[in-house]
Amino acid sequence: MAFPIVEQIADVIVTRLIALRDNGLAEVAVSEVVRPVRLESYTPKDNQIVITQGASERVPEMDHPGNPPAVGRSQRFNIRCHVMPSEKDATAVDEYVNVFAAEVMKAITTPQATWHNFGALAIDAEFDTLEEIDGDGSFDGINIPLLVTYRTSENDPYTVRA
Amino acid sequence: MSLHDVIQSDASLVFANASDFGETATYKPKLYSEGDARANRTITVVIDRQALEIISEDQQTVAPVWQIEIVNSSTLGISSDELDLGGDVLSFPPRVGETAEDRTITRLLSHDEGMLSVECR
Repeated sequence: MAFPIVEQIADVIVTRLIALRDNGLAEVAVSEVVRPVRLESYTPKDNQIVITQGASERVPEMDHPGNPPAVGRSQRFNIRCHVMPSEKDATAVDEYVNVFAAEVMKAITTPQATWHNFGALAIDAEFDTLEEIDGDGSFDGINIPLLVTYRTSENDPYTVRA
Repeated sequence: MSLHDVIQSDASLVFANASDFGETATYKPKLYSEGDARANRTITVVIDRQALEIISEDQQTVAPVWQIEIVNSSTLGISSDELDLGGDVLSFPPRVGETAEDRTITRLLSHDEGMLSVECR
């Protein structure tokens, strides 16, 4: 089964976060990396990463003329970092959140020189404003929005355009 | 037998009776260290399998939620002082007839001398 460019980018993001989960030297022990199925059927866990997609917006300034033309898009990925330490843990929950966010951003931006193109699939990438997850007594955490700009042929979302 | 004991006994024998609405679940307490004495145990609970609920923490995503009534006891159910909302898990069938799955206890909705009402997701 072939996958469009946006799905291939998502796969690279997941792979980088799984590398963080499997990195025994990281400052946070990631419990799991989840791309939810339709009914969000995962159960919340401490140090859990949940990846979902947000809006896909057009970026006309990245368009190229031609036949077919190339169209630019910016895809938002929400990387939600869930923190759920023990009730008996005396450490400030924000400390866990800060370390978790730092480790995730470090994992996403590796390799440092080329992280933004996700294996020549994208033009650029940046983190948007971090959004706190409002705890209601269940879990806390932070959402790290990642905006990835990429370009494909207008009539073929499977083909990257330089 | 004190009133406290009677309330706990009734909660187990009447409210969470497996012949009526009670069903078996496995309580899996969070372990704090290797060799922790807290161990899994089988308890009888009453599960209210609710419809999908909006999860505000996750930007209005929708997820299944279960409200579970448990005897407030460290032997017949889960005692309110041992419950840890930072990793305790209940294992039960998400839908009637399905195989049991681990679900984190996310909130303590209410409790008294006899029962706990908890939320699992």
